[in-house]
Amino acid sequence: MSRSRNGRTGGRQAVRTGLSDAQFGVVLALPAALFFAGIVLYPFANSLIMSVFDRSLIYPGTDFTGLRNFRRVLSDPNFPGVARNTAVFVSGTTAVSFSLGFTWALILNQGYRGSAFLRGLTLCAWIIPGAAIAFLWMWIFHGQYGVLNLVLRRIGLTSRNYTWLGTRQFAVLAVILARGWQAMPWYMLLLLGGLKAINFDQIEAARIDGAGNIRVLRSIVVPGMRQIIGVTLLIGIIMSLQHFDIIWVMTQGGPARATTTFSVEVYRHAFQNYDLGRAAAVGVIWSAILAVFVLLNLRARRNGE
Amino acid sequence: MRYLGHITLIVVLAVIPASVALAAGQAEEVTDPMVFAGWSGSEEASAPVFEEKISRWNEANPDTPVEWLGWPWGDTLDQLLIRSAGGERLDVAQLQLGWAEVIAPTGRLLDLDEVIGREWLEENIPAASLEAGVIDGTQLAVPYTSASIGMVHNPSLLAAAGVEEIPETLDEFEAALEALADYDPDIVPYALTTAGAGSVAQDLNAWFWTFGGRMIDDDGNVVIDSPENEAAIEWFVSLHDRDLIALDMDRFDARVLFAEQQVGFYDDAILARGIAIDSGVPEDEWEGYIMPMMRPTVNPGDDPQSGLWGHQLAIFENTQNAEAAGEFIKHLIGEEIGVYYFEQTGLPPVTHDAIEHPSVTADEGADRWLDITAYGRNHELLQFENVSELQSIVTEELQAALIGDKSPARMLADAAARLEDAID
Repeated sequence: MSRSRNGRTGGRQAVRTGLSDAQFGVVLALPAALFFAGIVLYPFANSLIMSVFDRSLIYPGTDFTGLRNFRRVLSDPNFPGVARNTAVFVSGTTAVSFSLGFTWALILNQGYRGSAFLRGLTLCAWIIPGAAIAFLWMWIFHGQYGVLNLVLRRIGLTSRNYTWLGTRQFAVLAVILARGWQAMPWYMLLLLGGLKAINFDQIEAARIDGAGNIRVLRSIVVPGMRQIIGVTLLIGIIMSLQHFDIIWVMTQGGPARATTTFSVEVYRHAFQNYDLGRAAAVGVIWSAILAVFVLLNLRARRNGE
Repeated sequence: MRYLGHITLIVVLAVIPASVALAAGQAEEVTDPMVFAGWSGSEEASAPVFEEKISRWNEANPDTPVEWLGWPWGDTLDQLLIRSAGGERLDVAQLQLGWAEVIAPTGRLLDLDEVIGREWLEENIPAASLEAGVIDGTQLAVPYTSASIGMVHNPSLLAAAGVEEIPETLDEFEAALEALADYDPDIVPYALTTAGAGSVAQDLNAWFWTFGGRMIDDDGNVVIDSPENEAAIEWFVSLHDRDLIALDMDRFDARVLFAEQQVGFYDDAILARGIAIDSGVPEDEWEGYIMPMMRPTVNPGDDPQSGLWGHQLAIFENTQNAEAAGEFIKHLIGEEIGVYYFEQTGLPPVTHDAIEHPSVTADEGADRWLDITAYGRNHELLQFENVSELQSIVTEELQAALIGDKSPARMLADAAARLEDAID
């Protein structure tokens, strides 16, 4: 950039290509812009268009229906339940991931021997595909041969098997735990970065003044990390809002729609009911909710600069 | 000159990949194999059999090789629709009975009378099973295997629990389930499918028939909220309250648990025996571990109910060689491969020659399934194009009743309202 500003390099570019700096910048950004348009903008625009058409995976052709798909989605008696399930899932997974990730980051930040290895090991949970993680947790919660039942029976807390994924509350809890466990390393990584930026001298001074661990955490660590915590939580919420695979593999949205979130609802409308228009309408509503958090995230970043 | 050199280099770099892509495209036209898609070839129990079927074809027809493309059963219909809509190559597909009705409106299935020939089809396949593939007067699918979904029991487990007779009525059935629960509280006496929309709705339909109810009447009206069906749901709830059935049980779990002696009864198709053997049941002692049975009835002498079940084959318009695809279907259902398929998996063949083969006629297990199939009826939701949506509704509502969210009457009323809305 500085080379362009001083006029020498920019001048040579202008002479060779006949383009101004601004035009040359546009040319350089064009491949990335085209790529973005192809894989993000086009599908999004297509979804917006599809949401106002009667479009099916079975029947050829499309009829313009205006806002009919939106009216059908919003008047569906199941819609409030889907919104509630999504809110519970997002807040639950964010709380679990953040608590575990922050605790683990604090432990790893102590800098004891082997902490770097443990940090790397923790990231394995994040890189394992969601479907594999879902199967792992299904194995834990399975009603007949699940590890949880086995452990509970061994320690004498129960004498019979429970079908955890067949009951409303435990199915919700199971998918939250599975997703929370998967996302925990990502939270840990970002929060650990924030911890590294805390001024250690301040902590030392507080300790000399007699502050304990909790006081140091409340008065120095958390305030010093407010920015990174905010951004991490916002991005985490956005990721949880988009999440699909663990829920689908573990419960397929059941039992009795107890774990049906927006992502599951879109999949169902599109690929089980073959109603692409209605799926797109759910997607647009879902995107609007996501957009709120994206805007909050952008504002938080701008404030942090 | 230097810029000219750069331009030349750029042109060369641009041309090389384009040439390679073009050459690859031309090569693809010659060697691109036909795609045979479905689910059975991806299941552990039948994958080697499908490999062998395809391998025999490829050896005999090196110019038109076939490759397998598979998904889990529950995803196959969706994937077929998506793949065909996307214009990707898809030649021959394995379909569940009823799926052809869903795909037919897309107009992407070929008329098999034209591809295979009406004469060959009529000469080799019984008219009744051929008729199942006719949609709006066009032969869009041909049978691959055909039987019914009935019930199986574990004779050795029942004997150990003191159950000496196969239950024929609901009272006897409940007594057998109680005996199994008393014998070992860890086993699931009856692994009724309570998860996995397709299986739940089909099995539930057969139980509704048992109680004298239906989901859809002959005129296409939703009649699921009947007193008969309410009695059926109340019975299920009572079984659940007594731990005689389990939640979160899909067909695949039921099969595994059955093979591990953890289930006394469950619903399945004729392929149950092959799956049980593949899952660990001793091959030479299978009669002691898995045996088909008639579904118990409310009153002695009532007709035992079962739902017709089968697989079909169809050719998609995405094929690049319809003639070869037709020949491949003949290969799959012909006597040699049909009998081989039966011997390996227990699935009945569909052509006259294969049906009359001694290996088929002498099989006791197949004989019992034929008795069950004699009472087979078409599942009532399969006539609708949005069958997946309808099956999901029924499954969700059943789950709601079993976990106590809704009373049986409320559950059926809600199911009726949602089905009517979805069918409209």
